[in-house]
Amino acid sequence: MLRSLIRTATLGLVVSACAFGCGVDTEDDDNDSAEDAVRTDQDSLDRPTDTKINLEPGLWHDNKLVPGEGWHVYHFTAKTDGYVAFQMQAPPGHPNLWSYLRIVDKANNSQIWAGVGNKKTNLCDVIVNAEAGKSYDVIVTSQENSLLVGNQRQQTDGPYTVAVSPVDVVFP
Amino acid sequence: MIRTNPLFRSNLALLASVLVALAAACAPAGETEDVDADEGAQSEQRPPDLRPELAQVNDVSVLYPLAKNTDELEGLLSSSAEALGGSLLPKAVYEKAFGAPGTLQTGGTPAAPPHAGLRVVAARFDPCFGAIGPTNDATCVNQIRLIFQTVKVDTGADDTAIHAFYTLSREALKDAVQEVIAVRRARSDERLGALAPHPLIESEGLRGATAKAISAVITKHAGAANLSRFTVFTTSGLGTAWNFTGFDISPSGDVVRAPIANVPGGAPMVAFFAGFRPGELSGEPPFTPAATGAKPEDDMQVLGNGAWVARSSVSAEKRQAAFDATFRIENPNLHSPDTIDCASCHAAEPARRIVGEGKLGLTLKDRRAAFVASTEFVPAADMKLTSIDTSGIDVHMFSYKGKVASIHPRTVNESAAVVAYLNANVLDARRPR
Repeated sequence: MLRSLIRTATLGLVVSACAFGCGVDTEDDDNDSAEDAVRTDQDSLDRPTDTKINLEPGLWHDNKLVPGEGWHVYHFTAKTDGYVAFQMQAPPGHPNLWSYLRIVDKANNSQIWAGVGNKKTNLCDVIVNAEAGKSYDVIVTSQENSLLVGNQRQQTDGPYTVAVSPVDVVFP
Repeated sequence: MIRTNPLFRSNLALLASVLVALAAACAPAGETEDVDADEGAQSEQRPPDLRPELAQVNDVSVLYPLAKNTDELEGLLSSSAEALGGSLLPKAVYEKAFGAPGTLQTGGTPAAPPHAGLRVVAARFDPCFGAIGPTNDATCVNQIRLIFQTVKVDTGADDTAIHAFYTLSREALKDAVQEVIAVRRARSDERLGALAPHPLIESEGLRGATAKAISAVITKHAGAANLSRFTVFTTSGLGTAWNFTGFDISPSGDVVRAPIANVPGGAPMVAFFAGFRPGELSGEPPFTPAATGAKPEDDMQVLGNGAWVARSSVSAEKRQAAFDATFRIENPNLHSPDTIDCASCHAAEPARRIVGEGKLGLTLKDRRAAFVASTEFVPAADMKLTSIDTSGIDVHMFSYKGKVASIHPRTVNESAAVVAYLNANVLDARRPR
């Protein structure tokens, strides 16, 4: 998989443009704690569920989003410096579910997220230049955006798998 | 696995043309025609001894057919079956290792399969587990090993498995093997042929006499009293990743994480990730943690990603070495579960087939890598691979993925090695009659 890296000076997070056409965006967002408010902006998400799971490099965790339960939050603490790829894959084929992967660096009050640009692969991939000892929140969701009418919450749904994988960005 | 008794290594005369012919007949996929002699072939000078009272591959490695209905399901031994010293796989010990049902494992990998639904799908009777090269019989670890899976009538077996190890005395192991042979002979003196779901159980059904009798042998000699280790692999990544871990049980009943060869010390788990492209190996990375402790000639892991291995930065020599390493890993004369990590062993067959052969077009170069069976006790026909699941990536070496039986070359090779050792050294086949 070809990875091109664009360093963002303010965040210390590195954006990855997925070879399969994932959309990528970055923003400073200090609204993560406003979980109870219904938001109608582009990033409006349902109530979150903290899985309390600490991801380990290279190990895939499977789960299932349930309508009303909201998006899922995982945690990762880097043990060493180096690039890691946060990845989330939901089975392709559902016409109304759109997957998103968001990485939150609370210490720097920053986040970066990727959406799916290629529904045939449905893989989201965010590369981060992780720092040893730093913790990141990993938010995954597959949502029916079409349900967002009249302040209605997003409906998360469907199985997915998530992992954080070490990345060798220096190709031999 | 012990290959030789030193008594039989003297006075060897290599029959080159015979060895070549026999090696070609025994060769696994990708093997070249010319094969150097190895320890397993040293008995080639002896004429075949295929008497029915001697062990065959389907005696030492028993794969139960899957249940066709709910009644047959009861013909598969359950984890709670009454056995030696208690239940066959004690729930308390199982949950001591894996936690309460549903407890996720390292890094959020799936929970071990629920104890209640586990059924024995396979068994192995091994007189010298893990031994490589000449070994003193007195130091052999005699074992019965069982494979448990969650089995359902409609969908077959889940893509996960438990491997349980039971240690017993040489005499008990010998008794068990002779009892299994007697079960076979009670039905017929016809050879059972290559390793497959047990032919007699297939024809009689899981509620038939053969299944019952073999299960009785198992529960007589294996159980809570002598359970020494169990390992598991689970599936995640929506069916694209397999996670391997295990636990040893001390004589005092402590359950401690089993060490894994060649990975950084203390790694609780190894994983093989095949990636999301169907029919390809594209995991990034394919193995976690990587087997950095493996010798170069034993390291197959570069074959775990078809794109990585094809890069110009990977030399042809490294690709060939990795390809040959898959044969070395499958050779019980060269490797055991104590010398190779779980992920490399389970991934050797699919990696060789999909990437080594399918993508790179490689064939075996190092002739010493491949296992050569003793034709004294194992005819060429018994070495045939009967059940390789080529529909996708299947890491089951002697169990089921869904309804598909998967038998890897390593298991065939091990079975042949066990047969040769048993017949020569335990059942005294060479004793003057």
